[in-house]
Amino acid sequence: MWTTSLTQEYYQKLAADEVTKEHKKLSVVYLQSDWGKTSFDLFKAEALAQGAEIVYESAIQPDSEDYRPVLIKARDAQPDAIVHIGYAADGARVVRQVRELGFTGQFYGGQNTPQFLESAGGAAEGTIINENLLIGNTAPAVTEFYDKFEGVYGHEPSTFSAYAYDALYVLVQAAEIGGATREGVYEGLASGQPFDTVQFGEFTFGADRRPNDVPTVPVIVVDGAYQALYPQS
Amino acid sequence: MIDTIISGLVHGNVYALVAVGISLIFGVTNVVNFAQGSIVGLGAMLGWWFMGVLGWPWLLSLIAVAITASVVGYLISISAVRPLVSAPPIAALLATFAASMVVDNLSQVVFGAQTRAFPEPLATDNFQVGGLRLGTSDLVSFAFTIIAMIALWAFLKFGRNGRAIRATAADPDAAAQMGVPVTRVQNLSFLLASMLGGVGGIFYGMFAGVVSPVSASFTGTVGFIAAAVGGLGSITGAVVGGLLLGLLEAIGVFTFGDGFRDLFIFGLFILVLVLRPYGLFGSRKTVATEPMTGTFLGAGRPIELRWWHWWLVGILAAVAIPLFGGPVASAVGTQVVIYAIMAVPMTLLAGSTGQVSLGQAAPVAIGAYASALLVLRLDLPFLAGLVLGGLIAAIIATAVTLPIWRLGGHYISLATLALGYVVLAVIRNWDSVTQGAYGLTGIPAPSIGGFVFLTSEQRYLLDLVMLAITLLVVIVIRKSHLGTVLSSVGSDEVAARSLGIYTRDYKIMAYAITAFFAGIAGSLLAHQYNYLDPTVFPIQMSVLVLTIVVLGGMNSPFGAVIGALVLVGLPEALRIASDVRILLYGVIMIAMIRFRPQGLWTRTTA
Repeated sequence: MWTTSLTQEYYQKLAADEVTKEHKKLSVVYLQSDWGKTSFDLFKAEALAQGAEIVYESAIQPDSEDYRPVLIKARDAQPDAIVHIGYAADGARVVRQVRELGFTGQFYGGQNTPQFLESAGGAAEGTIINENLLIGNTAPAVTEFYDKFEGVYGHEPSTFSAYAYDALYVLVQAAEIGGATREGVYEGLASGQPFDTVQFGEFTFGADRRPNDVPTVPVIVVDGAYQALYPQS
Repeated sequence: MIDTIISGLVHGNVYALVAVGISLIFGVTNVVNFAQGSIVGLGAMLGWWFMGVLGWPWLLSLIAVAITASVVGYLISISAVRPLVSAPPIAALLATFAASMVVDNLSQVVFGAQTRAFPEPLATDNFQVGGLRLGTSDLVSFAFTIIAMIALWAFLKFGRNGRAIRATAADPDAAAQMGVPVTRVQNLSFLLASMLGGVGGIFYGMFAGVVSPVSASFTGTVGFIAAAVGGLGSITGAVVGGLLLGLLEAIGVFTFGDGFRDLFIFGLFILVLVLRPYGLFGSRKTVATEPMTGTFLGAGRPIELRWWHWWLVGILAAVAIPLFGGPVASAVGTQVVIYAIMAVPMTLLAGSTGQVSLGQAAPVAIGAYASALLVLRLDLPFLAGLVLGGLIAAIIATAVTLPIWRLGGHYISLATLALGYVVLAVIRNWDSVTQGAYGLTGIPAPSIGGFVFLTSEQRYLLDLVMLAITLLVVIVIRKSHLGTVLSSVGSDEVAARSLGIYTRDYKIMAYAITAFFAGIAGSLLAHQYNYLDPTVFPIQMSVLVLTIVVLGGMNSPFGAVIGALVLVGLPEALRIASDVRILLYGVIMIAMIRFRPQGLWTRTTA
């Protein structure tokens, strides 16, 4: 199976590198699911390899309303930063409650979706999340994608919109290479040729049939919208 | 720690609001209104809509939500509860449970499943207590609960309608003879409780900050537990139960982590049921075993199939589906058959002995994991895993619920509901054995004597054989002396006991048999999916099994098969989305209980 979705092995390593650049004492909460636990294991391994210390870690349930008992402990461990590994809905709750508990340090987490921004409201201000190349990217392909999407759907695209869009167009490009048949698409995907995407620009599939040589970009919530943390000149 | 305690109390306050409504209704009508939690959730979503989308001011929205919730509660009362007042309690239990399914999923369909930011009309963090930022909204919430509790108490003690409510609760017939309009009073109590629930939903929304239809309904479920812990029927108990539960949940999660949340809430509940079943403030008489079914279901005789009918159906099912339907129809058929295996023995539990299990997914999960682990880790052959899976499921499910069978039907239902959550929590946290949320991979396919069942058609036939065995066992039991004894327990428990029958033990036996076959169904699932994790066994599975049995006829094994065909096969074939499905199940259940409680596959006797 080919996919434009980044593996957690790849993504969490980059995320951990970004977090540990400035913060060495971390509290981490992660979803208690197979995805959440695996992602956390990978994040932790890389964070420790970078010399950071995880002073508190805890699983959280996606349907809990109240993460305060867990977050109180996370806060009391006096970390430099609190990291959340999960989705937009629980991320919104976590960041709201973290701020309510008076934690003023850096928060990494949530998800690059309009739902996260809407649900978290003012508490999301200053949140950093590692993302793909979309935000702050002024390449014509990207701005065209944004404009067209907003024109059709009335709101900004999220990470998932971009993934879906890219996945479909990769298939189109594969068919252009090998022919519009099952075998043709397979040949196209396996050909090792580069594909054009909105998220990563041009990339080639790695041996594990995933993109694993694409850069990611940390984004930060400023005034209720995402922007690139390190603006490209 | 102080922060945790305060946080727990604030959360517990929300539970208390749900619980008060439940205790109020239970005290008056002897019905556990499972829809109460859904009404709280609806209140939250409506609050979001009125304030956040329509932009109405706080007070207006509060009143609007109160009115809407009262209307919904009133509708539930007149459509699902009142018409069943002369029917045994099992009917009302199922009806309110179905109503909760309808309200929850209607809410999901109307408002969408996303989480929304709840508007903050009152400040939520304008002062500091310890390390916590509390707000005016939390204070108002607490104040509301206290005022509601006092107002209710005063109303019930001194108000004319309040005393009418109490009279109806004590003895509806005597109250009617004294001129109390019993129907109106019962409807009034539903209205009142729903109004409280709806307003409670708004406070819940302010507390949670973000709301969604799904998360609100979990809070509702915990509300029942709080009401039961406090003592069903006691308003004070409901408030205390709610606060206590919130507190213990917070402390438990603080100490052990959020993964243990369900274990704490529902495990605590089962403990309370064992040690002090009538709760903190309840009275002993609320747990007296009252008969759940009576002649309610006996009004229809199951349409019996002759032996050659069975052969015909069996051969048709075995040949037609794989031959004409191929792998896709066989895959759907497998689902149908496995649910039928879960549902058929329920005719012994719900039909014969009149007990409702709201958590059948629990023994299914136990059987699935047991079988998978035995085959994976100990290299046992598939058949051994299958049978042992069933046995282990029966033993564990029965052992955990053992002390509770002496209580009345409502408590059994709540206990089985709790068991569903507890089992999943244990599986999710016991990483060393079950691999928790990571899941078990590479579970071997079913194989008997070297032959491996790999294709859909082969697996379908294997499952069909298992279903045949299940049907055989259940029908033989029903026709035997044991079956008659089980029926006597359900039809008239008091008469049965005066004949010297140990009714509690027979109920346990029926449950154990149901759990055994549920475990077998679980084992079949495990070896056919080749992968297991806790998300395979959600509450929806328990709900579906129950609906199947109600639809087909609680006394009819073949009816259960038909029920599975309709409720599992049709939606798969028509590709109906899952949230609409549950809505459909709820509506079907209410319709069946109202108009044809004996089920589809029965003949009404004069």
